[in-house]
Amino acid sequence: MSDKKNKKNIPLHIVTPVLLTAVCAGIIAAAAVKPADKLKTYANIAFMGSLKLDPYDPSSDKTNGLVIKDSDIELDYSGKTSETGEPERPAFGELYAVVSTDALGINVPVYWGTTPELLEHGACQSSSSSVFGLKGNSVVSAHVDTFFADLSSVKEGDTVTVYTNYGKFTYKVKELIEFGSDNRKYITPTEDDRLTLYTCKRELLGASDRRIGAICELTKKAFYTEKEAD
Amino acid sequence: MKSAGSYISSFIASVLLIFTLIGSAGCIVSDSFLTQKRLTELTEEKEVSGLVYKELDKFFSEQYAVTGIPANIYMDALDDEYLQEIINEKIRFGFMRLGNSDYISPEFSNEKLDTSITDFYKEYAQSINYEIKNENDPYYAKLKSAKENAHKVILQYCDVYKFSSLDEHGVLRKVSPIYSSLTTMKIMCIGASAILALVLVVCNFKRTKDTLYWIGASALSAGVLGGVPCIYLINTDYFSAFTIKQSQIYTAYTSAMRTFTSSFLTACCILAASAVVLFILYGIFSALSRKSENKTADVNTEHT
Repeated sequence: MSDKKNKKNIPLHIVTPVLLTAVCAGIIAAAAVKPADKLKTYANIAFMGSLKLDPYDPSSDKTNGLVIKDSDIELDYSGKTSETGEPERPAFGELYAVVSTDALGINVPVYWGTTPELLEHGACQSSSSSVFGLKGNSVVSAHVDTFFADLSSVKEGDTVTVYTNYGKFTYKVKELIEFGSDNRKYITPTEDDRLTLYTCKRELLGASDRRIGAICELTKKAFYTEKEAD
Repeated sequence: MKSAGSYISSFIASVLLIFTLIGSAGCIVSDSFLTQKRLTELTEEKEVSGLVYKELDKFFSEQYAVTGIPANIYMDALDDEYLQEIINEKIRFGFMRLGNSDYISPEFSNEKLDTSITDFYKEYAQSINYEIKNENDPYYAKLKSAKENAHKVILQYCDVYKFSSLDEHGVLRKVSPIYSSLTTMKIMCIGASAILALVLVVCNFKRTKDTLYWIGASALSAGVLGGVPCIYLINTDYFSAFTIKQSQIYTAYTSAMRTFTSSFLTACCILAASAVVLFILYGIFSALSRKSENKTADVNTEHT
């Protein structure tokens, strides 16, 4: 009687660990999607474009002759400021600002000009848009798998801070936007002072022809008036 | 496995136990591996400073066309020991920042390098009959900029784990709370595993030997779930597929990842091995209890 019962239990004894493994594998797979995505974003930021280059082939450094200038941006300026001032026009390919907001969670370097090479290094500001501190629309874009991975988490009312070496500019998110890649409505010059941030809409597979972003209105201008900012 | 009730409750407790066991293994390995000492040792083992030297030589040789300064002006003033010292400092900086400190790396001076660049500039000025007029002469500004640039490039190349880049973008600040609580998480995971083992004892209080089976099944599943991805990563040599531009960063990162994966695989193998031991013990106890049950049955038959 006891032997029969034990024989009956053998398949259950074998199936149970398999079932346990399958259930846990399913839970891990479902739970790991977001952290894995975050890890990929951080790895992309750390290595920038260099992950895609061959370490033993000098010709694979595909900057196409572009001179990328990485300036140090002052983030802790504590000197006097003024509401008026003169912005410094950056050179094409120059890192001239840093965008920071709680939703992004990281300090995003902003390069002047938009090229695929610059997009590997940070966010890019369209050279046909306004330099920070000048009246008009400052349009900044970045890849969704690197620097603007969390742009979709930005909410209306969030504060966005832009640091440059000549001033600090504070914006408030006014409107969240979504538009087609061929729609230029949001990236054309405007009469008001605004910052437009945008990136590709995340798709499960392949590139997206939709863009998402945020329109931010300028709330505070603080031009640095002391030399310490340089 | 007497009843459906005890089976289901044991199953649920085992699922939780699997996660706490994987968590314990992960935290123990991370806590012992992600240390300044271990990463420093790894760069020494892999002779990363030699790779930094080669990469710098390549960079300064390529720069010759732009600056007109031959690579040997820089390279003769550098050696593996000096570069290793900067690599160690960069790792120290990274871990201090991960520990939420405002630590700033000390400035590295290299008199030999400064003298070498100064001598080159002097010789060059003489060769073209350039006359240095006063202290504000552009000659000094150029010389200063050449020295600063050389130091900046050397520091960049020695940051083999890219800690400065991660810090600049605020990534270290974001990861810091997780890193700082690794020891607490380790203790919590081990504690939770012990509590879940007790829960399994309670679920199987009528047949306590079944607890051995459930803990064994959990340990086996945890070992398989943690170990299979590691075996895949090692067998396919996954990390070698990374194409990172600078060979010193490539070597530092890939060797760190390989070592971490191997350590985690070892922890998973220990879990799987302990599962086998628990299954054997369960088999022995089951056989013994069957024998005693049979004996009792025989005695009862004799009496009737």
